[in-house]
Amino acid sequence: MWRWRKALQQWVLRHTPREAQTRLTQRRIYLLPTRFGSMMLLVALAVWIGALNYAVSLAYVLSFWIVALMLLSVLLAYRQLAGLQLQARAAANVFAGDEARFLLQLQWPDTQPRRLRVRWYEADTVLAECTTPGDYALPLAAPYRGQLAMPVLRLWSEAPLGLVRAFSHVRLQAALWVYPQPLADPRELAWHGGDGESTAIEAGGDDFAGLAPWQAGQSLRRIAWRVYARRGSLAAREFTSPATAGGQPSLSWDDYAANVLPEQRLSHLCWHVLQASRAGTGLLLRLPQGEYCVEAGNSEPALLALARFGVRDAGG
Amino acid sequence: MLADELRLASFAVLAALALVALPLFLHLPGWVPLVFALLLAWRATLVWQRQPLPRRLWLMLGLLLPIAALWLNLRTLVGREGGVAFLLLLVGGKALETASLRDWRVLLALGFFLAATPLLFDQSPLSAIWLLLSLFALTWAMVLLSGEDARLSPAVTARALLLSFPLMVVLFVVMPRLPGPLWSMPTEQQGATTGLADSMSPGAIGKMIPSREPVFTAEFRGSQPRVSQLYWRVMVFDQFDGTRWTAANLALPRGVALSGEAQPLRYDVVAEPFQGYLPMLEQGVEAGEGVVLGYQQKLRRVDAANTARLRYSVQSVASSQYRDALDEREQAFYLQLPADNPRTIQAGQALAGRHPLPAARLQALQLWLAEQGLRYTLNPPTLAGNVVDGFLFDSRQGFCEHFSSAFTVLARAAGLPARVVVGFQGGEFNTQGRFWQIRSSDAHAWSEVWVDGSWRRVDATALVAPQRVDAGIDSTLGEVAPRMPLVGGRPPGWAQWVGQQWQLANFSWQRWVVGYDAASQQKLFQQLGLGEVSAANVVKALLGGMALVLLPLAAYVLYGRRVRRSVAQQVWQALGQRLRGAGLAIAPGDTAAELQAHAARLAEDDQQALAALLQQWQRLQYGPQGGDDAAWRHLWRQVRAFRPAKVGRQR
Repeated sequence: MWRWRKALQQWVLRHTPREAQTRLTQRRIYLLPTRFGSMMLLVALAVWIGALNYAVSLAYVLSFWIVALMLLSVLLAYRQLAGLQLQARAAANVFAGDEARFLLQLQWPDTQPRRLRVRWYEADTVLAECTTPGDYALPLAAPYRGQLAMPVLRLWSEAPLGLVRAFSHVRLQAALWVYPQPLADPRELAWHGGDGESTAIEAGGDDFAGLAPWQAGQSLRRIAWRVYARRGSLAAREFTSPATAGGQPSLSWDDYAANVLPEQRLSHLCWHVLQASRAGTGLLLRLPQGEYCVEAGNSEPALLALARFGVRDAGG
Repeated sequence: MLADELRLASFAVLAALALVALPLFLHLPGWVPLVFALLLAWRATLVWQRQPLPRRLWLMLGLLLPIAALWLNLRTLVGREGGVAFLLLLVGGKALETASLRDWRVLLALGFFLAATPLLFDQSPLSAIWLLLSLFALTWAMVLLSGEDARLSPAVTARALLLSFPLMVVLFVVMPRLPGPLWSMPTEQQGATTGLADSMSPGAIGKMIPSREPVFTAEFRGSQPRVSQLYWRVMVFDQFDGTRWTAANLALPRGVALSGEAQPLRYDVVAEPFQGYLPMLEQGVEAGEGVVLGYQQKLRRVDAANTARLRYSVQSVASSQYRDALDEREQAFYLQLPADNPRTIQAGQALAGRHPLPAARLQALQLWLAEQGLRYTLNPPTLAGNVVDGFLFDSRQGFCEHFSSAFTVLARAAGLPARVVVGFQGGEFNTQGRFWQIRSSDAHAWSEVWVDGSWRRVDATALVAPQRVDAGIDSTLGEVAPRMPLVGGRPPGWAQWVGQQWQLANFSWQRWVVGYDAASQQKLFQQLGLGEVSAANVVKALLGGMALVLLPLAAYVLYGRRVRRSVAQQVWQALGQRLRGAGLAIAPGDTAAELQAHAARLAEDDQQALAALLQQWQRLQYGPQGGDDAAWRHLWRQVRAFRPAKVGRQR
């Protein structure tokens, strides 16, 4: 039973083509009695047998009316999905670990209200109850960095009696990028001139430059507590600030030791990009595939590059 | 579904169940539906106060109590009464363990099953109305359970039931019926049926209260019989103990032989069995499907234990006698008399001595009875002891029971085998429906005497009150005639008309709904040209009927309302028509630009008006806030007022 279900799911996933927009027609809409519907059919059968045995005409009426309600439900449930137009709207990129929100645009040709529900094909939570045409946000967990394509959608309706379920599977062309999860990193950034060469560095800035023995009178905030914990001696962190206006801090993929895992590196880089964008200092991000300039408030290209890092089919 | 919606839906389910079970108060021991109602009320209170359900174990133990009481009360948990009562208690228990949506749906499905149970007891039009009410309540609960908006739900329910009605009718007509039951039911103690009892004690009842209750209907194919021919035979009483006639229920194999071959009458009867027997016109020659003609010319169901109403067809030759060969033992049986009623026996023996030939003796007996100065009345004095003597020689008043009993005793005393036949005589012809309505007050008893190898009917009552037979009981006795309630007197013409219409409605109900069985189905199939009720023909009829109903239904459900909705299109079409009226060649699919290009031939004023209308249409259709109904209606009025001058005329 379980294996059959699994096989059926696989078949559905394989046979649902990805499409930019779609209109549901009778080829796409499947109809099956619900559990309640099957139960009602059993009741109709029982009443029918009773009618047969006791020769009760009115019981036939009852039995056949239940069957007629079932038949009508097939039409009514079909109507809930027929002619439905679906299209995915652009969805915002998210950071790994956050919740992606795909936007589904539903339209139908008439103005009558409909009652249908949407869920991801492979999950059981009802995402939206749609009664009017419009945009519906469909949340999806985005645990991993990279490209997230919209999974197969299952739309279904049991309206108005709950006896028959009309359903359809749709895979819409929509994808969003999942940025690396930002991970705080204490590393000091190296400063570069506009032309990329190292320049003189003035002390007392915001950027971490190195360690020096701590002297009384210096701020407690400058103590490197980690060093103290390891070595037992007090060390003060030295800070610098860019000396020239044309220079900006830079950060490279290769700044990290070889044993730092790629995803962790990307997470650190992501954190730095966000910091730089927020602080307005700007940042030059050097990745193996290219360099990206982070300006104040515009971290998009750099974040995208991080999200795409190592993704082969990063075309979309 | 939100918790509050489920709450409303669960109230609807409980209310529907209560409604469904209400008629069972009439048919079950009163406390059973009462316990059911209390269980539902308890559940409703729990839902209302948002309290948890009782423990399942306690619930089951608690249910054992009423079930045990039911066993003590009815001595059974199966069959019609026992089974229904048992089911009712179980459903009540189930109501107290419903929590999730799925539970409520199971309960609702049980409610649909429960709706069938009152129909086992009663199938009158009133039950049908109740069934409709129950169906509405149940379907409404179903709609609410599926999460429909509470305000829309009644309309949705009504629509679903209305749209599914034609489908139901097709299934009802076409789905094959079986001539008999699948398994035999446990026989039930039959309640008091009106009309005929299983024995006859003339003189025991002083006053007979005539009841105009309809008992059965008969519909003749071809020629209608005369009222005096309508002797509906049901039972035969052949044992007399001095005061009471009973049936010995001998079961000897016997064929039917009629003297002289007359044209048989063919007719259909819808009737409930009386003590297991069904009415049939004397003398029956052929019984249709589902009934058999047995010894003593009695008609009974094939499944004798079934007491349900039945529609059957019979062929009879209207005759007052039929041939039957009695052997010595049988003749002796039909001559048995107790030693009571010495004066009657003496009179019979005296007549026998004077008339040795049986036929002449029978003549003499009738003549003698007619000369006794007997009077027909429904209010004779009660008699005790030698009841026949008392009737014939003292009170000299009585009704059919007295007459038939007295004559049969007289005939036996005179050495002629005789018996009493009980049934109905006469009936009222409904001119609108062309059927005969036989009422409880038409019940009658007469004698049958065996002379020269055949049984001859002697209606002793008719010897004294011949109009009883010629025109029916209504004309014999003023008090039985239909009366206006309270006012008294004969009802006016329109009231009779209403009465006949009501009868007709009842008859049609009995015939087409309650009595629609294998035989009627067969007949209908033949009338529709479908031939036999075979699997292939049923499938054919089912497909045909379904297509006939489903196609318009599908068109209505899927497309009908959509087309009607689009105001914009209607306005657009109206505009196109106006332009076509002005002599322009406008195609239905033309765009606004194309319309204007065509309109270049119009007069200057008209062109400007058209441009304004088009602009407004576009604003309403595609504008940011769109058009509301009032705006569209305004535009539509403008379009109708727009009458461009004809292009052709200017040339």
